Amino acid sequence: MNAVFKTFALASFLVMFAAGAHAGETVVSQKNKDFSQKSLKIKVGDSIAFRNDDPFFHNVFSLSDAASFDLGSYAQGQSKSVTFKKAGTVEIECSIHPNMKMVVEVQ
Amino acid sequence: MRASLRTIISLAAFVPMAAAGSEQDQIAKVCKPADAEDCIVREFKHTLEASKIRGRIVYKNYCVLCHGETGMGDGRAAKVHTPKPANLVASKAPPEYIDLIVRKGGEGVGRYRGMPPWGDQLTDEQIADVKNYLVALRRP
Ligand SMILES: [Cu+2]
Repeated sequence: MNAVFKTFALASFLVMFAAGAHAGETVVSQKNKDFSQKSLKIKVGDSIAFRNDDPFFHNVFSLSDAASFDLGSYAQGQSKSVTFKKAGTVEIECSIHPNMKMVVEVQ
Repeated sequence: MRASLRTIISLAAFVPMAAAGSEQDQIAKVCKPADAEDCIVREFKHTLEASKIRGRIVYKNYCVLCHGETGMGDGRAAKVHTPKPANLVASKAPPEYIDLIVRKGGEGVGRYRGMPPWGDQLTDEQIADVKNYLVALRRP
């Protein structure tokens, strides 16, 4: 009985943990030389997948103190993901299209 | 056949150089120093001078982010790249290679993927212009 309960508790914990990790990913599309969202609020540890929905290359990078990275350039249909580990304001840009910008508030 | 082909090639290489001298004179006659750049781009758009001026605009819009204002590879985004963006002032790459890496990106020529492919974004004229600007930017 006790063993069954322990197994159940462990299973519930794993399911919750997996669900929690899954809920922390937001998909942002890159379409018509723009990000599908201009601003986004997420929590520390959450990630964003940037999906290229244009028939040409996009890039994703940030030079902000809270997160600085370059995800490289990638073609239509491809997606690159980044996890935000620090709280703060992160400005996301595309090096190929200087007008593409969005702001992520990591709380 | 082979000799005549060679003659044509050497002539083709020689003609633009010969024309460049007279172009400079023409430009100096027509364009006043005050608005020289606008004048060159407007009145002498097919010259190397005009191409370099347009190329600088392309550079400032797209390349400056990583390669920096002066082309030394110290742009504001240089910090997120390892290896660092190329120092274009010190570059010795042949113009055809500039054309290739600009169009295909670093990954497309088997080098670092940090350099994006610009083939879709820039027109053939913009690529030729930025190539002419970069060659002129070099210091021995
Ligand atoms: Cu883009």
